[in-house]
Amino acid sequence: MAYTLIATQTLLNPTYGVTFSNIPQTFKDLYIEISGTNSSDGQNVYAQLNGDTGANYSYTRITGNGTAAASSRSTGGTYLVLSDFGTTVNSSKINIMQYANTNVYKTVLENGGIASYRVTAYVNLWRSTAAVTSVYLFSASGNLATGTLKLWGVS
Amino acid sequence: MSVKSLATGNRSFSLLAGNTPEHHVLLAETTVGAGGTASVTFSNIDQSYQHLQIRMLVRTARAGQTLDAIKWYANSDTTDSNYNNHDLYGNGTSAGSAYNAGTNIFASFIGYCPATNATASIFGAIVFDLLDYTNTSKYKVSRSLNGYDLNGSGTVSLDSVLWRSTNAITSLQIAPIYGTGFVQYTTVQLYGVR
Repeated sequence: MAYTLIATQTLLNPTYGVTFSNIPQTFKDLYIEISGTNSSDGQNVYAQLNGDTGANYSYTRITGNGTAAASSRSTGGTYLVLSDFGTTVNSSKINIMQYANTNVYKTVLENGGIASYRVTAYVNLWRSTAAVTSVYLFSASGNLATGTLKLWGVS
Repeated sequence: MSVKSLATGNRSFSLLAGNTPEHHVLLAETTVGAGGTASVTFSNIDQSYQHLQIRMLVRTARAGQTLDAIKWYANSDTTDSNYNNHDLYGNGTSAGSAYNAGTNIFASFIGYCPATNATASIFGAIVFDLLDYTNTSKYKVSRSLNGYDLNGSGTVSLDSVLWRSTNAITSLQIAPIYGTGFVQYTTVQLYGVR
């Protein structure tokens, strides 16, 4: 099996953020699935790697809301930006490529969306060659209310 | 998510760029060394899986540019007119779509990546699925989620490619569209999906 489930976190109570720590360094990529809700509608999930709160993150995204497609970006951010969550269940699929490779900056591909709001795809960059040992996922506003977060190693 | 065939009753799994982790098996992988390589080819692909997934972190040696693009060919068929591409992209400013066919060099395009003039250590990511690759009753389709970000420029896109052949895919070549090859630390993994 190429995908190995490393950890699962089920939200029993609303919480601002969830951390996967002490991530094994033996895989090629990391893959995270989030399925759940946010207490506030239409809020992005953010993420920080290895507890880095510096301005070392950037992204490019494409969105479609049923009327038009659009694209935007952010530079010098202090976190990864991922898809929106809302009060109805939606999902996010996150690929952290070559997370243990200390020769490359870390590129994160993600897609997700809220059926009632918009669908999105993101490419994020973390400008660090450090191996990723922890991932902190948190809400842009409100709390991660219900759902499950699963971390997989891809070997 | 599982998908049940109405014709056969068989269950398979949805793949979109990372779905259904439980049924992936690593078939082959390439890590490019210091000398670079012109392309990556997987030959004698095991025919016992339902689908293929390819996961890549790539950068090319295209001279004088920050951007390159990647394509795939099946079974050594390098005739671009046998492929078609649809591309939905966002470049950070606007979103757009393109159709590439005929002799267009983007006919089998699957994603963008950084090239020589991009900041060092930045690579592009491509995750693409080749569906029903052994089915001799269907033309073959790939779909990809891909992108790169250079902290001020970059592109994220979704792409489909049609290879108008019913032949089972037994080999797969991945190559830059413009550059002379892939640079060191480029990685490509091929997975079979049951």
